[in-house]
Amino acid sequence: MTAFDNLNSSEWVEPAAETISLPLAHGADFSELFFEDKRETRISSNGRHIVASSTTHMTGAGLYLMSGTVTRYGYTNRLDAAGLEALASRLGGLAPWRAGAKVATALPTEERVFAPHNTVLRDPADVPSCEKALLLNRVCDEARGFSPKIVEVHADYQDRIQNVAVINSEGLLARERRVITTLRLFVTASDGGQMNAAWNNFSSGHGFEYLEDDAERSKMIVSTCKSAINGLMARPVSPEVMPVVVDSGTFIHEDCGHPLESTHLVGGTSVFYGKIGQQVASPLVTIGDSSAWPELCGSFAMSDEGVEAMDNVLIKDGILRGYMVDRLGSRQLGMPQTSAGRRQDYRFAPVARMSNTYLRKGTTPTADIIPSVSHGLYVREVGGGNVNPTTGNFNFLAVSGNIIENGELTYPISNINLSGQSIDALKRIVAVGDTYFPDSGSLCGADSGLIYVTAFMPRILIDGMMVG
Amino acid sequence: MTDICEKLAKLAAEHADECDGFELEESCESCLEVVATSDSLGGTTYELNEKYMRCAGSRVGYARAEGDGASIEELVDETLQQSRIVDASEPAGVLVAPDREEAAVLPEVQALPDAAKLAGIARHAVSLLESRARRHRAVRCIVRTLDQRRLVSNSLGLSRACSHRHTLVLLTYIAPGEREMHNVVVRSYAEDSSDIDVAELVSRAILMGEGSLDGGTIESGKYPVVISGEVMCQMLVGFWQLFSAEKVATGQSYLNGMLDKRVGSEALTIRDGSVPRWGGPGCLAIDAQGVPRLEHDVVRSGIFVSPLATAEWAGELGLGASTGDCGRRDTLGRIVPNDLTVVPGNLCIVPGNNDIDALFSAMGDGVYITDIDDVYHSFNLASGGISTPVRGIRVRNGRLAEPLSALSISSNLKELFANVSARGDKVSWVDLEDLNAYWCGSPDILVSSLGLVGAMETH
Repeated sequence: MTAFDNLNSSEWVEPAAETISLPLAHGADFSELFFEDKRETRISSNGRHIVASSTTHMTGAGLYLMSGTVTRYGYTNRLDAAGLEALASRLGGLAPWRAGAKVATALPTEERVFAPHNTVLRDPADVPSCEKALLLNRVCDEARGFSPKIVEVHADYQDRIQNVAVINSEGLLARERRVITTLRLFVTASDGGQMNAAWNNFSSGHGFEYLEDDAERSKMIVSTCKSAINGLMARPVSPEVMPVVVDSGTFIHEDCGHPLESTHLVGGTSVFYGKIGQQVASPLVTIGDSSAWPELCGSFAMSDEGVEAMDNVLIKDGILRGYMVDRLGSRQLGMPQTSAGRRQDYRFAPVARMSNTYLRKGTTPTADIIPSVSHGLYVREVGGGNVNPTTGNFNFLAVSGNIIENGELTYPISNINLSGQSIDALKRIVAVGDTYFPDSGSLCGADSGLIYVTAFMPRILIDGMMVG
Repeated sequence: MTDICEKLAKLAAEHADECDGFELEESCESCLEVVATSDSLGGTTYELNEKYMRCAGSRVGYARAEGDGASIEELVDETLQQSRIVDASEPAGVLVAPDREEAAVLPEVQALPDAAKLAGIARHAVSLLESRARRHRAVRCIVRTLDQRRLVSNSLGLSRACSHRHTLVLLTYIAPGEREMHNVVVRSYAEDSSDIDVAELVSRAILMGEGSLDGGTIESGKYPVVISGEVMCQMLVGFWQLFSAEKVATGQSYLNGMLDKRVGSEALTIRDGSVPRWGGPGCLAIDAQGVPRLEHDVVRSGIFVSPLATAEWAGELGLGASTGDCGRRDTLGRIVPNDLTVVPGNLCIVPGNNDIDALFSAMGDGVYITDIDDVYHSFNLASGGISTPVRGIRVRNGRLAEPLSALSISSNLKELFANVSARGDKVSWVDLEDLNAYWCGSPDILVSSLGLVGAMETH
């Protein structure tokens, strides 16, 4: 047992404060310790039986040092006082710091408490594994029973309880307990020799109750099975530029989310660099990122740098207003820090990342958008995507949707790549619907690892994208 | 037999009615990373990491803990609890039995190189690129030395240990053109940081950055292409799971039912193993089940001869034995990093004997693909579909011609494999994910016909 085994105790504060003091003597002007104690459970089914069950308990600490805009980061899972002291001494003394102005430091004296944004009614830690396994069996039974065309089902139940604490040389001491509950469903449909697979990730910041609601759970199963079956009838699409109707927030996540992270703006390496106050999107478009929206898996009380969650409007009525800015980005860009500093776990230094990214709903009735398109593509679900923040070139995979002809949905499509350029695509948005489509959350990978995010928006119409 | 094996055997005997035995992996990693950047990005930064991990499993359940906190008994107890909800009649984990008594201990972590030495390499690369590139922005060089140690023990008496060290150099910069910016990434590896050829790395970065800059597009259609080794190994990162026994057995790969059948041209051989070959970096010599990562062909002269398999999936597919390709989920989806899964060691398309000029000459007119934006959402393993934006240079009469910066591959892996007609003589390597030391490699590849799509004009 170490002094840091239980982050809910106050015993670790004193040695932690000593640890962050050490590098300040070596020349750092900012020092921060991030502690993590994480427990995860995963249960897997092959559709007929539970085939694996596993638990993970990981603990560790990351030490983040700055002198001006020069940083050092180190981590260890030797959490006794000697282990932390060794890390602080070695990291602080690796090489001489650049001479810089000394800043006043203040070690924490009392804890800041931030209001949680997610409600947990049934803590996964209190739910027996056998109950989780039973639920997974029900999911698989329902998926297999959906249609004779569903021939394979794989499902994972997963929960994570993450205790984090941040203590820094600006006097901050704060803790948070975060819960994520996830169902992953993978189904394969077969008919007449054709096979098609579909998968979905359903994540929530709620507890086990998220998966106990029969109606909600059924929606997850039905949507995944329908996607697999519809894909059986999918036809290939010849590559062409066409109008695209999109319901999935992954579009904004890839199109402008990543390029608006401060990490990509330093040194002028994002297409949005230097464009604050300029028109970067259609006037119909307002886009933001909010870690404070309640009941979403991208929400938290504080960032992994100890900044209280906030709603950060990035583009308002088509005009670029701001960026997502972590502590380092704040120093590099001379802009206020936002609650964007996030990391997968203690092994990663915090980096400006998205949380819940949204495109604000507009005034066009949702039902009017598809009928307004004479020939185009309707994208119902997106499987993931990628962006090059420097060029703004992005692509995402439309896993399900339909071709639109004369304002009506015709034959289905499956796994078609769409590509475009960030600002160009935002300017091509010609209609924004009046109803949000929910997003069940997913994992986003970048410099600070994999984190849970959501991205949601109303139905939009883009007047031209490269399809195929 | 080591103390750990004896302890596991004793625990297995005590719980014989609940499980078939226990296996345990201990590992530790130690890493020093130095990042030098152009002045606009702030100068030189450092990362220093150390991690110890211990995990235990039976044939049905796994438990894992990081740090010094968890004892073997605690992990075994947790494993037993997890095992109770799993259907024991399902084919599951298979402990690997040694053919003789073994004894091993977790190797000591070696001292990492001097930080100043790594910083010197990184700064040299940055300043060399800044002096040689026509235009540049945001130059960054990462030099990372990773030291890995692994011990695998089980209650059948297996006890094996290994270690591995390599240095990775990653050079990135923005090449700003008149109409666009190009984000360039090149890599180099060595066991010892002194062996890194900085000048070669910089030349490669500049060629990649300036070769396709401000390029045009092409008419959509089928073209002969040379895919550069840098691009092809990144594509392999995107689709290597096509060869995973798990994906094959469950029908998630189109290679389901294709064992011992033709899946590519005679010119295509894909090999896996741990031994450094063709300039590759090598990796830990045993997998997470203690099986040696022996070199083996996955595709031999176009025939799919062996998937990448763990002991479990080898059993599922009737292969007889693991191919030594078992890793922790840690290497892939790092959210629940405990399950054993299929992970390649050094998965490589075997090189030929053509230099790049010979490949261009054989192609005549076509496209040289020099860069790729995304590999993680570009492949549909079930259908083989490929759809991904790339960059390149037009080749006319066997010579490089105008740059192309706006095009995509729109094709199928079946078409790609079937049309491989020649291979280059040098292999490029890319790691599957940061810090994990599993790799994919490829030479330049000549493909006689591949679907390419031109891009749209932007507003």
